[in-house]
Amino acid sequence: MLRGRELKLASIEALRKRVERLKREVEASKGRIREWRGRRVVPSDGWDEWRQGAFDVFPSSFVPIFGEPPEGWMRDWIDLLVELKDPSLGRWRCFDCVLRRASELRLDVERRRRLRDEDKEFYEGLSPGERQEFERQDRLKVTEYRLYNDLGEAHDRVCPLDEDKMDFFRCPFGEEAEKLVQDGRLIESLWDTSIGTITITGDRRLLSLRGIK
Amino acid sequence: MKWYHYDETPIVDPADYDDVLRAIDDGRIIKVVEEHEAYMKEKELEEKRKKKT
Repeated sequence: MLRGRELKLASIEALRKRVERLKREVEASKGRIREWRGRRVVPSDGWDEWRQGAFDVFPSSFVPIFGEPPEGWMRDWIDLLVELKDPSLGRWRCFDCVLRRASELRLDVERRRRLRDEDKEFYEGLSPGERQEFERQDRLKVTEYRLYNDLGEAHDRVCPLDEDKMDFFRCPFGEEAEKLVQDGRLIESLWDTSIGTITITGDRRLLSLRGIK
Repeated sequence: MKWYHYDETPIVDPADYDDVLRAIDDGRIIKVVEEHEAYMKEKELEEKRKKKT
């Protein structure tokens, strides 16, 4: 009798947890979208991309995907998350924001400048080659910062949201949000793909381009 | 892959903001991006070839 009651209590407890989880999912999202473009929308908690049939459904909030989903799946899923104004996707998008990156780089440039002033002895003890390389690294950082701040039009603005509260869908810069993210991505691509490649690689094809004017 | 040496003159000087802006205007950046893409494609093909063998 007691064992039967315990089992009943355990299943009620499991049911309560499940309801709470579903409630959280619904609260976190805009509405109750149960199906999207022919696929079922499921809670992202238990979703695992490596399980068979994972891409037959859509998780209801953003999780990083490492594998290769079927064609069109990713686009449809992101459209769903935008529709839901999913805070996890919102946070993920903020990482590309031009203001965020410019602010980070500004701090980095200031830190390097401070170190140079505070630790003069260290810099004076470097060989000419080492000093040249240190100075070059400083100038690289300044260039990267200026690309985000000036070319990317961050213009010394700072996002008032703490990192754990960042959410593209609640961007304090309103309608500018999309432009801030696009500009951030553009500068990142400019820096990483082209300039970054020249800086760190010595592959012959790039080096052979030096004669181009 | 080897490290770029600081005393070599690059097609664009990434440590000089003004040169980067000039490179955007005069098309040097585009050339670098195109070369980078071609290089990545070649690398990808090479890896595929290696997997097959």
